[in-house]
Amino acid sequence: MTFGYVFKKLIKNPIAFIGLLLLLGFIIMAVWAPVFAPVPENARDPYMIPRDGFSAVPVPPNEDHILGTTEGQYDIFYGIIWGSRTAFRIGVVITLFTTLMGIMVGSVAAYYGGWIDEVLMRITEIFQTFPFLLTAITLTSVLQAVYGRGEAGALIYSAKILAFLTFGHSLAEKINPIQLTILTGMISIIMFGWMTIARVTRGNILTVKNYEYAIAAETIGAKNLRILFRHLMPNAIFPVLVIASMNIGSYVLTFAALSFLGLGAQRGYADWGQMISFARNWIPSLAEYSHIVIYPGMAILLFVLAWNLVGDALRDILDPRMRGTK
Amino acid sequence: MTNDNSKVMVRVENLKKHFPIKKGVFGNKQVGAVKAVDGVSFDIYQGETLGLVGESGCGKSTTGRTLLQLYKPTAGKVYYHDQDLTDIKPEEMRQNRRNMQMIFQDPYASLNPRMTIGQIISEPLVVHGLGDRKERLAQTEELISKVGLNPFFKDRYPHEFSGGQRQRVGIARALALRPEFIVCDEAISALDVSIQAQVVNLLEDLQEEFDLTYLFIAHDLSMVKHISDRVAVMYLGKLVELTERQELYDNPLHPYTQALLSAVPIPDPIKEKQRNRVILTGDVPSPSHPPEGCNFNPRCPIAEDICRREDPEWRMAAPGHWVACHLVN
Repeated sequence: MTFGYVFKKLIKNPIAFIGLLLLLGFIIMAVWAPVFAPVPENARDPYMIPRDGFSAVPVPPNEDHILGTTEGQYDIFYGIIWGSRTAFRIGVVITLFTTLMGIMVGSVAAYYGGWIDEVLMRITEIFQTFPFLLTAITLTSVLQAVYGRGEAGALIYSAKILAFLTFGHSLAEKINPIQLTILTGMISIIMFGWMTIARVTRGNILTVKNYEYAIAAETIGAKNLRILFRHLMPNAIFPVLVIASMNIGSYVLTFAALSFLGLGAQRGYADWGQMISFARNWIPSLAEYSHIVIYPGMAILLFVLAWNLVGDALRDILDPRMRGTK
Repeated sequence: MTNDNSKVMVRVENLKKHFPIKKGVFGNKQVGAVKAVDGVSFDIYQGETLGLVGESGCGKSTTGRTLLQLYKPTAGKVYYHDQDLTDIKPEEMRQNRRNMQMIFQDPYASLNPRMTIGQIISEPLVVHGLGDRKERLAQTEELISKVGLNPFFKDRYPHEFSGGQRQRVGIARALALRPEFIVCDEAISALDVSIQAQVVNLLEDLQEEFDLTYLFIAHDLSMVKHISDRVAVMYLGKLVELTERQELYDNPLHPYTQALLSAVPIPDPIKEKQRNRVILTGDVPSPSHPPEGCNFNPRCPIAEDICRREDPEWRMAAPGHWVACHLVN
C-alpha cells in the first residue's frame, strides 16, 4: 500500500476526484490569495478585510465588489479568498494537535493496559460527556478573559506554540491581539476534540498488539517504545488518518460556529464564519441581502464537503471492508 | 541423549500461568481464572529436541510463551543454565533473549506487513546493537540464504511470499542472534504437508549446524515422532507423560497418551485395519473449571474413585519415564 497506489485509486474514484478538485481549488486560492485579491497599500494586516466606506447597509454585487460588500462595507470576495488561508491554517493545525494527542493517549492506554488504560479511558470518557460546541463556546470566552488578565503562564505558552504553527510567529514574539481570539478558539477545540482519535487508536492497537509479529518483536528483545512505534503504530494508524482528514473539515465548521457567535475571529478578520456573523443583524431582510450569507456559506460548505469526500474515499481504499458503511 | 551426563539447559519447575477473569465497573473484581498452565515441571537437555504435544487449548503455546517470559508466570520457576528467569530484571531478560528465540505458528501473522524481510531479519541485530550497517547487511544476506531463500529478496515485503517462504523468514529472524535454544511454537502446523517436510528438514539441518536445542510444540504426533528426542504430553494445563520418544510410542503409560497414539493412522492397510482405537467420549473440560481430582478423570476409560478425589502426582515410573496417573505402577 504505497502512496502512489492510494493516489491512483483516489484519482479513479469519481467522488474522490471531485473532492480532490475542490481541495485543489482551495489550495490555489490560498496560495495565490494576493494575486486574486491584492492587499490594499495602506493595510495594517492582509487578513483584515479592506472596507469601502463605513455604511452599515450591505451592498449587492457590483463592478467594484464582484461579490458585494457586507455590513460595514467589508469586501466579500477579498474575505473569501483570504479566508481560505485561515481555514487551512486553523483546520490543519487543530487536526494536527487533536490527532497527536489522541494517538498518544490511545496508544499508551492500549499498549500498557492495566490501570494506565483504565485511568486514561475514564478521562477520555469524562471529556466526551461535555457537549462539544457549548463547551468550546464557554471555554473560549473564559480563556480570553484569563489571557486578558495575563495570569496563566501555561495558557500563554500554548497560545504561543499555536501562534508559531498557525501564523509562523516566533515564540519570542508577543501575540498579536487580532489573532489572540483565534488562538483561544483553537485551544478550546483542541482540548475537546481528541477523544474519538484516542478511542479509535486504542482499539486498533489492541487488535494489532495480539498479532504474532508484536510478540515476535518482544521475543527478539525490542524495547517498549520500539515495539510501539515500529510495529504497532504503522499497522494501526490508517483508520486514524482517515478520521483526521475528515476532521479538518469539521473543525473549520466548528470554528465558523465560534466566529459566528463572535468568539473566534475578530470583526473584519478574513474568516468565513466571522463574515457570516455580519448577517445576524439582517435576518429579517435576508431576501434582499442574501449575498452576505450565501457566498461565505458556500465557501464553508464546499471546504467541508471536499475533506469529507476525500476522507470517505480514503477509507474505502484503505479498508475495503468498510465500504458502504458509515 | 538423556543419560545422566547430559547437561540440563532449561529447567521448568511447577510453572503456572493463570489468566484472570475480571468483572466489575473498574474491572477490579476477579471472579475466576483460566488455568492455561497449571503446574508443569520438566527439563530440557542441551542439544535435544523436546516435543510437546496436546490438543488445541491444552496450554502448549502458553507454556512456551511463559517459559520465554513473554507472559509473566503466576507461579513456578524457569531456570536457564541455573539462572532463574522469573526473578531477574527486565533489562537482564532482554539481554537473555539473545540466547533464546521463538518460531511462530502463523507465518501470515508473525511478520510485520510494513517491514521488508531484510528489515525483519536484521531487526534482532539492530535492537541488540550488534555490528554496523554493513556487517548487519552481510549477516542478513547470509541468514536468508541459510534458510533457503534468495538474498536478492531482502527488499521485498512479506505479502509477496508464500506461507512456506514466510516461515523460513521467521526462522531466519529467530537465528539472527545465534541463540542456543529455540521454542518452535507449532512452527509447521499452518503449512501444507509437502512444505512441512521441507521446513522440518531445515530445522534439523540448522540444529546440527548451530548446536540448537528445541522445544518443539505441535499437535501432529507423527511429525513430533520424527523430530523429537523426548516427548511430553500435555492435557488441560498439566503434563501427563514425558519420556524418550521411542519409549512413549512403544509403551505409553498414561491412558490419555494411549488414546492419542491410537488415533495416529498407520500407513499400512492391513495393520491399519487391526488398529485398536481408544475412542474418548466427551469434551475437554473448561480450563477455568477443571474437574476435581485428575484432570482427565471425566473422560478416562479406566478411572477409579481415587482419580475423582486426588490430583495424581508427577513422578518417575521408570528411569526417565515420567507420568501423572494413580493407576500406573
